[in-house]
Formats: sequence, structure tokens, C-alpha cells
Amino acid sequence: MKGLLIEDDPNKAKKVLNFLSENFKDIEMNHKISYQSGLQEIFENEFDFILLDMSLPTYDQNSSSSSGKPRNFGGRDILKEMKRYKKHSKVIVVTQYNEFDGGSISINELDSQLKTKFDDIYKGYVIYKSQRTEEWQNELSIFLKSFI
Amino acid sequence: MGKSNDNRRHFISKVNKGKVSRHDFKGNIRYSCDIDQRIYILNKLSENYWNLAYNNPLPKTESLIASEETFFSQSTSLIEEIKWFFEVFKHYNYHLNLFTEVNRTIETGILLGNTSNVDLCTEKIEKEISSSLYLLIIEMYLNEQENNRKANEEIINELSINGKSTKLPLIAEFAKLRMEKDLPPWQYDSTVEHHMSMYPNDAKYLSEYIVLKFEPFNFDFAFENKEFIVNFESDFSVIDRLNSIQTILPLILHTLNIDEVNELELEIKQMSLTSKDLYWDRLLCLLNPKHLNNLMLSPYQKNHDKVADLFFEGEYLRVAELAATALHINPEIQELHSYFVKSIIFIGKEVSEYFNEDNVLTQILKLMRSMLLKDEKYTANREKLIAEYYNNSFFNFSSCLLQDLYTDLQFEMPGTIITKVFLTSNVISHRSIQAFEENSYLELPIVNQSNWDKFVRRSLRNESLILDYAKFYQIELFAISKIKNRNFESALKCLNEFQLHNKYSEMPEFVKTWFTKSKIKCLYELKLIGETVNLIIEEYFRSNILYDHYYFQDLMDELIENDESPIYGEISIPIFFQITKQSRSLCYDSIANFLIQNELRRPSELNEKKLDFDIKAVTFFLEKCCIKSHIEDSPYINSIDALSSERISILNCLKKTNPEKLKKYNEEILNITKEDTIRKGVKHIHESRIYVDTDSLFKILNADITEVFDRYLSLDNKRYSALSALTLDEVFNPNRVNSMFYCLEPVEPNLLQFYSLGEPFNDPNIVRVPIIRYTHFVLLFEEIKNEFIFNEDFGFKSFLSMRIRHGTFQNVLRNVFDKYNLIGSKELSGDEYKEINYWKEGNRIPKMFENRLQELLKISSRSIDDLIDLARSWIKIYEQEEDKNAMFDFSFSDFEMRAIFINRVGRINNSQDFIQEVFSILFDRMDKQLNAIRQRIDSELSSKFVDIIEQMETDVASIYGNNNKTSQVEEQILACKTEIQKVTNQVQQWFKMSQNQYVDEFPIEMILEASIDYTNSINGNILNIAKVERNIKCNSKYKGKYFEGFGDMLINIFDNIIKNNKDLYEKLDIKIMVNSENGLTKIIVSNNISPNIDVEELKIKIQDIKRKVSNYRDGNMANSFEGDSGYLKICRCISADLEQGNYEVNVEYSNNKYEVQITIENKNLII
Repeated sequence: MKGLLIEDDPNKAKKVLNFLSENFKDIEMNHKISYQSGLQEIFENEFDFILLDMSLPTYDQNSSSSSGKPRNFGGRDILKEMKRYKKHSKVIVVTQYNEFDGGSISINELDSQLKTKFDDIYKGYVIYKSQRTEEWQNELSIFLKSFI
Repeated sequence: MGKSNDNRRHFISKVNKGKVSRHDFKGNIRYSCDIDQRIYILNKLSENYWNLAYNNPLPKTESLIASEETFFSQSTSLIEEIKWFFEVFKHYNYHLNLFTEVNRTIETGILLGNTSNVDLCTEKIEKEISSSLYLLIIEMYLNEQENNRKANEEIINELSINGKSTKLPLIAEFAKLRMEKDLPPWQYDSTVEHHMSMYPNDAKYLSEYIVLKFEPFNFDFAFENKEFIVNFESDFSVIDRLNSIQTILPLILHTLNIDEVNELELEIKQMSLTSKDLYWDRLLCLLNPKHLNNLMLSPYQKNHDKVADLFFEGEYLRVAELAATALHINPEIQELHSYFVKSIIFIGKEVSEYFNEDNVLTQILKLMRSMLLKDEKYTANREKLIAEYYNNSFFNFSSCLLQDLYTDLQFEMPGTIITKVFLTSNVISHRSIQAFEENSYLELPIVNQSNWDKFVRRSLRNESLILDYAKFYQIELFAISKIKNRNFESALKCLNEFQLHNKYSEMPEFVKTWFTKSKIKCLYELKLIGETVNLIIEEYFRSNILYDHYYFQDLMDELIENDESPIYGEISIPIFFQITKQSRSLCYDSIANFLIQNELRRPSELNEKKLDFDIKAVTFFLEKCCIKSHIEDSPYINSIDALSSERISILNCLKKTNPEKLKKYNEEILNITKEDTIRKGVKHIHESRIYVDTDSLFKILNADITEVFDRYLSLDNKRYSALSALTLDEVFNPNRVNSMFYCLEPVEPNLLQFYSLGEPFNDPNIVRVPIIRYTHFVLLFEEIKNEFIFNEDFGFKSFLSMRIRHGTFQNVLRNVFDKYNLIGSKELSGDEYKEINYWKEGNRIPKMFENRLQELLKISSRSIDDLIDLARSWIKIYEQEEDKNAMFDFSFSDFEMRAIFINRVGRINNSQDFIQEVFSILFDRMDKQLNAIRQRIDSELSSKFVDIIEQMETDVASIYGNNNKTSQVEEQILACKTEIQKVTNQVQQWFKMSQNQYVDEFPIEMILEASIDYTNSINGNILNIAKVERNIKCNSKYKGKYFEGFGDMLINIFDNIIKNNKDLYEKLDIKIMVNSENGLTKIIVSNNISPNIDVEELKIKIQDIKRKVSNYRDGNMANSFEGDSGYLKICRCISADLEQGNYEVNVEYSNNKYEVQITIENKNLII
């Protein structure tokens, strides 16, 4: 099974990837760190599922080059392009935030929005908290097991 | 209060005994009694109580207007509040009828500028009825017309001092503002908006009142606190209450439920029986169409119908004459205004040929003409007409003007406006058709048998009609009636025929506008969305202005909802999104959908595909729609470089298809290239942090060591071995040979260790040399190494100090925490940390958590600073015992030195190669250490930062308790955690050898912008907040090798400014001037200084700087590596990096301006 993690926080990415490699040995994971590199990966390869951060920079940041504008809803932008270009991987949002855009929308409201607009591909969200490892790991496991 | 007589008497008794307060009396009499009880009670009390109960409906003086405040009950209803008004009206019916009659004369007088008539009328009203806000408004209006603003200020002043109402002065003030002739409407609107922002969120009812009272265009507003608003108006004079209720009802009528409508109908019916105001008759018809055939028509109807019939027949000259005659006497027949203006447009006449008086009527007609003509002054005159409406919106004669303005400003007319126009009209006209549901218009009484009316009725009844397409009004009425009946196919067919029968280009603009709007409406309702948008865009290109009245949200919603529809294949769709100023994201969606429908990946492919689109549309699409920000989301444009390339490709296409704009496109290409170059320049600066100027060092060393090296080479006589190995306490043995050797060809590193143990005998690869040679080698090696590391101008330590250690390393890391307000600064004296002000301000954190949070942040601030200091101690050169953490260690053990000599250096027989080989060895060492530093930053620094932040997370969570809602501080922590890892990664990349790949050449602008960008990135983007002015008068191109030198110099200057003046924030004002003339490049950077700087100390410091700079230039002072002001570093840059011996560095301070001036000879600098 092939999965893609689109996540710009190196520490969070490492923990998620480690968890997956230890508990889901049959899954081969790729990792990208921005909207554009994530999108490019989706267009070039097929994935069974995608774990998607919501806030992402536009481009990869390497050494000194600009990562472009930050996107509070970069994950939603990716879902939009997936729908537009008919990409069918299942998507789970993995986010650290309960609210977005300065508190104007809660994760539950965003979840409803995403379910309405992207019902074919969006499967829900997991809240990642670095101090509550068991919780997010359990939720992620449940989601992944529903695909396998 | 119950209904029993006992209760009434009891209440009366209590009142007479003074046991009921004014406030309670008002509340009880209004809300606890029905009308009969009220009358009974009030008849038993003195007259004063009457005024108290009904809130003084006839104030005798201005100061008493709204003086008896109304009582508001939370449990009241809208209908109750409205009924209260009608109860009062019943009592004062005579007064109101008198007002209605006199008011007509007032409005006529205002339109014709007959102020003496107006004065007489207002005096009559004041004498025979009462004072009122309305009369105040008229007085202020007339003062304004006479340019007597002072009088108006005195009125407001008087009300503020002597008036008994708190709201009256404010309402009067806003009314005064609104009627000011030279105040643009947008400025009035801003004032209202600002005023609204002063009300707290929980006082929404007050904000709604402001909208009602002060906003002239409030017809789309959804009032929620209607009961309050109506009640709040119920303590003005009875005249004002009449005006208020007549203003409010059109706005809320559509929100009433059936019961409310029925109750209101009863009240209005009563009112219409006794009132001379036709408003009530009309309102009755709207509430219940069964009243339609009883509608009273005004005496003006005949006049109107005559004019309308002539207009219907296309007799425009006669229309103009007749309408002008009528309007000279009855200018308030506002329906005639538009017949007149349209007719004179048809016949090519001016308003001044019929109206040459300088009055409000003439002004309105002239502005209306300009607006309908859409001439070159259209936008300005439309604004003036809006201003005219604002000035006159207090009067009924402005209703049709309102509707005509809305027609020009918006696509759809709010029902509230149609209702208002119908209610306040003097006559039945085609405007009345829309006021009714379905075909209720047909129930209106037929009077005068006018042709236009007959035509409308026949059309509404779907009777067969022969249309004369030459007669505009006929077609207009036909279209209106068909659209009313939702027979859009018929309407569309008629419009198309109209277009065929008339030369479109010769039609007056207002006809084209009407035609286009009507057609858009029909096409949209018939779900021909693509054609709808095509028509809008066609019109846009024809007239070069997008009129507001072609845009409506329903159309946009339809497009957004159906984003997979094939209509997105039309090029007009993304153009429509662009010209209606949709969000960046929606604009991108429209472009992406267009490309998909046309099987394209990128916009630049459009020209190759040869699709059948209008060239104008293609040009607009490529030029205006496909800008960088609108296409950067594309999955086929994956990087910043690819984005720039795509835009440049698009511009190159445009250059071919639209050569008239060649210059503009070339300018844009140049700007994109400049931005890319600056970006590369910044990248270059970032990647050149670790550097040793070995070229310059080589020149020095080659000159210095040649002689020594030759001597070194000459030390090959083995006889020296014995002597050099001899010690005094040993027995001399000439056969014992202590020698060194080297390999002719290098041996494998894994074998080298054996060679280091001792000389391998019989190895043809080795050459024996005396020990003394080896000793000399060590000395030479050390000398080269010292220069490599410690040379003040070109050595590693100097660059390390300037480019990383001099504040940069800690700034860039600390700034991340600073950005998220998670790190404090230390107290001026002592080691304690201050509280972070950000968390003290506003309500960012609950007060009860503040102390604990601040303590937590102090602890974490210390941890962060300690960690940064630890990391900083790694990026040092090991020189002494105290530098135990330093990771740049260039000490070589004996074993290593022997290995170097044996395998790498010993065989070299010329000084140049020797020096280069030693450099290579030192670079190898440096490379390993850079690698070690990078790993340490990655594994240790980054992870320790994360640990500190995660600890903060845990601690904050325990302060807040288990709460699903993320607090602001938690959000900042999460964002900081992600960013610090990225910045640490960025910093990690500094620790690589600079490849010394110059830009080939550069304009001064490029290094200036790159330096500003770089300084910004290190210092929390402060230069984006500050004011930075550039004045570049320098067209010279500089040689690429001097790029970094200029960069170091400029970065040093900017860094210094920020370090000392950061607290100024947006008040920091930096001016940069560069010019190149007479063989000199002059750079002047000046800035204002922080108030925290001690000016006297600064002056002393400046003298010190001048002295040091002068000493340095004269060769009497070494560059201080650490901790100095940086001006010596600048001197070093100029002399060493820019290779200029002739230069000036000057610093001055005067009048709060600190200035650095650098003058350099251009010799060899420029190409």
C-alpha cells in the first residue's frame, strides 16, 4: 500500500512516519513538505491514501529560497485540485489546530465543509497533539485500518 | 393592569398622589393599557400626562424635541410599536393633514430654489403644528444652500447645550453632514461607518438604528431589531414620527408575517380614511390587492399620462416641451424627470435649453443627463448625482432619483426601493408594475385611457401586440411586463428584434444599458449562463467600463456552484471573475477550469492551440487574468522559477499578438527578471556565509614565503639528519640516521598509518629527507594556517565573525520566538527576564492565567537563550582552553602532521602548489567540521528547541486545563514549533563551503535589495514595517566578484540601524541614496534614532568611530573581530573585498538624523 504524507513540520512528520513504519509495515510512505511539491507528487504517482496537513507553505523551502506565501488552508487547496483533476486517493487531514484563520472557523466546521465539497475523497481528520501521542495514533490507526 | 375599572381608578389615584414615577407611568400607560383604558385614564389626569404618555408629540421649541424619552419593553412586538404610531396619528390627524399639504409647497420650493416660500411654510408649520427635527433639517438645508455653515453649527451647538434629548444633536449633526455640498458621499459613508464601530457588539440594536437613520442606501439591510428601531423614533414630534414610519415601512414590509400584515392593514385602513396623504392608500394596496381598484389617483396623473403617451409614441420634442412646462410649476412630479431627460437625449438637446435657473431641479436634471449619456464625465457626474441624492434624501421628490441611481449602480433593484418609490410617487407609472405581486397591477383603476397604460395591461394579459421597434418606450414596457410575468423567452425575442431593427451603435447609452441589462436578466433566467457572461464581457470591451449594474451575485454563485460545467470553456468566464474583482482563489479556479475545458495545462499554451476566441478576449485573459498570483496554484507550475517562466512566456506571446503594448510587457518582464535576480542574490548571500578569500591570501603568502620555501626545499642534504637529530645527552653515532621521508606517489590512506610508524625500507616510492626539512615544513604549514584562519582581511575568522557570529546567528533564531511573542528580553540590570507585553494587552489570555503564563515564559526564554548561546559556542574557532565547545578546530596532532608531510605535501617542490595544498588540507578539515556542525544543529539544536516548545505546550495546557478550544498562546506555540524547525534547517545550510559562484555582474540595486531582503529575514522582517526610501542614481554595472563585499558592507549598516533603533517599529525611517558619478560611488544611509539613545553618548561614540576609521585607513589599527561597532568591518570590506585603497567612511549625527556616508573609487569596480 502506498501513502503520502504532506507535512511541513519536520518533527511532526518524523513522529507520524515512525509510527506508520512501526505499526503498518506494509505501507510505503512518501513525504512532501509543501503545497506544490505535495501536489506534484499526487500528479506523478498514485497513492492509496494521503495524510494532509492543513497549513502549508506554497513551495519547499531549501537553504535560503522563499517558500512563497503561507497557506492557512493549503490542505483544502490540495483537496480542491484533487477534485478538479479527478485524483481519487483517500485523504485524512492531520492537524495540530482546533481552529483556523484566526479562529474564524473551527475544525468541526471545516470538517463539515470538506465533507460537503469533497465527499468522494475526504475521509475525516485527526488532531495531532505531541503530548497526547496515544490519541492521535489510535485515531490514525482506525482510519488506516478502514482502508486496508 | 387588568381591564377592570377598579384598576384604572387605582392607577389614577396613585398617579395623582405622586406615587408613580414618570418612567413607570410611561411604561404602564403604553404597555399595560389598551387604547380605551389609556384614553380613559388620560382624560382623568392633567394635560401634562397626555404629553408624558405620548412622548410630547407637539414640542413647542426645538429644545423640547425628543425630550420625553420613550419607554421600551423587551416583550413588545413590532406591530405593537407600529400601532402606537397610528394611535398618535389619530389624535393629531388635523395637524398631519396640514403638514401634508404644506409639505408639497416646501418640496416645490426646494426644487425651484424658492426659499422665501419654504420659509413661509416652515413658519406656518412651526406655528400651527410644532417644532420638529424635519423643520430643523429644512433650516439647515437652506443654510447650506446659502453657504451659511456657521448658522448650522450654531443650531447643533444650541441643541447640545439646551436640548433635552441626547440623541437629537447627534441625529442633527449627521443630517447636517449629509447635506454638505462639498462632502463626497464616500467620506460621509466612512464617517457613519466609523461612528458605528464605536458601539459594542452587544449593542447591535443601536448599530441598526444608525443604519436606518444615517445610511442613505440601506435598502438591502436586514433589520433584526425592528421593534427597538420603531420605538426609538416614537418620541420625536408627530411630524417626525410620520416621516419615520413612512421611511421604515418600505424597509420592513416584506418581513411581516400574515398576522402582522392583517393587523397593519386595519390600522392603515383607518389612516387612509382620514388622511390626505396618498401614501396610506397606496400602502393599503400593497398590503391587500383587493384595495387596488379603490386607489385614489393624484391630480398629477393626467399630466403624467400626457407626457408618458407622447414618450410612448416617440414624440420626444413634444415630451421635452410638455415635461419642462409641467416641471416649472410642479417640479415634484419626479416621474417626469426621466421622461424629460431621456427625450432631450434622443433629440440631442441640453437641459439648459429648457431650464436655465440655478436650482436643485436643474442640477438634478443635468446630472441625470450626464449619467444616462455616459459621457466622458460619467463617473464624476454619477458621484455628484449620488451626492445630490444624499443632500435631498430627506424629501419625497428624491425617490425616483434613488431608483434611477440604483438602476445605474446595481443590477437588481431591491424590492424595498420599488416599494418606497410606489408609496411616495405622485402618480402611477411603469415603475408601479414591479411593486405588485403577479398581475395585480391590472386591478388598478383605469383613468384617462392612456396609451402606455393600455399597452402595459394588454401585455400583462398576454394579448397579441404589434410592436413598433423604433419606439424605445414601447419595447421597454413590453420587456418589463414580460419579465414581470416571467415570460423570458418572449422578452428575449423582443429584445433581439429590437437590436435587429435599430443600429446598436447609434442608440443612446442609456438605451444600450437598459437593453443589455434586460437581456442579461432573460438569458440568466433561461439558464443560458454562458451567453449571459459573454454578453457582459462583450459590453465591457465595448464600453471599457464595467458598469456596476451588470454584476449580480446570483450569477457568480451559479458559476461557482457549477465549476465543472462546459461553459467554463468560454474565455469570458475567467475574464468575468477578473473584472468583478473576485478573490485570488476564485480567479484561479476560473482559469484552471477554463484550461481543463480546453485541454490545456498552462495559459501560455493558449496561442499554440489556435482556439476560436476573440483576440481582444485572449489578450485580456493573458494580460490581466493570468498574472502570477492567479496561476501559482496550478499543479503544472511547481516552483517560483517555473511561475516566473510561465508569466514571461505569456508576456512574450502578448508581445506578438498585441505589439502596441510592447513597452509595457517588456517592463513587466524586466521586473520579473529583477525579482528573480534579487532572489538569487539573497540565496547567494545565504550560501556564502562560510568563506575564506584564498585568492587574496595566496597573493600575500606567495610573496611572503617564497624565500622561506626555497630554503625549505634546500634542506635535503642527509648529512643534516645526524646533526638535526643530535642531542647533547646522546652519544654521537654517525650511522644512526634520524630522517623523515615523503612518498613520491600518494599511498592509500589505510596504509598510511604504517608509514607513520617509521620509514619503510626498500620502498622505491619514498624519498628520505632530513628532519630539519620536516621541522621547516611544520613552520610553513603553521604560517599558512594562521593566515588562513586569522588574517584580518581575508581569513576565515573574519568572515565567520562578520557573516554569522556578529549577531546574525542568534538574531535569526531568537526572532522566531519573538515573532510569536514567546520570548522576553532581559531586564537592563540583572539577569531576570521581563514580562512579555503582548500577553498583557487586550484580552489575549484570561487574567487569572496571566501571572503563571508570564512566569512560564520567563523560564522558557532563559532556556531558549541558553540553548542559542550553547549553539553559538559551537561556531567558534578553538584557540584556548575556554573554547571547549568550539567546533572549528584546526589543531593537527603530530601523527596528522607527519601523515600530511609524508603523503601530501612533502613531494611538492614549488611554493604555489605548496600553499594551495595546505589550503586544500585546511578546507578538508573545515568541511568535516561543517558537516559535524550541521549534524549537531539538526540533531541537537533543532530537537532541543522542539523539546523546549513541547514543554511549553504541556505547561500551557496544564494552566488552561483540558479545553478543546485552542487558546491564542497555544496557537502561537504550535506555529512557532514548525517555524523554528524550518529556520534551524535554514541556518544549518549556512554551514557549507561557499562555492564562490558569483553573479557575473550586478547593478547596485540588486545588491541593495538583496541585502535589505537578507537583513529583513534575519531581523524579523522589521524593514517591511519601517519606512525605507531608496534614491538610486547609478546606472553602473559592478563586477560580480564584488557582490559579497558590497553585501557585507550594506548588511552591516542595516544591521546596525536595526540593532539600535528596533523599538521605533513603523516609525523607523531609513533613507538610502546611491549615486555614481565622477568616478566615485557614493552611498548614504540615514535614519532617525530611537528616543532611548543618549544623544551625548552617541556623539562621543561617533568621534571614536571617526578616530578608529582614520587609524584603520592609515594602517594603524587592526580590525577587531568581535564586539566592535562594525565600521572597522566596513573598512575591511572596502579595502580587502572591494580592493579599494581610496575611500571615505563617515558618520554624522544632527537633528535626530544619523547618517553613514561611504565614498569609494569606482576603479576596477565597475564594468
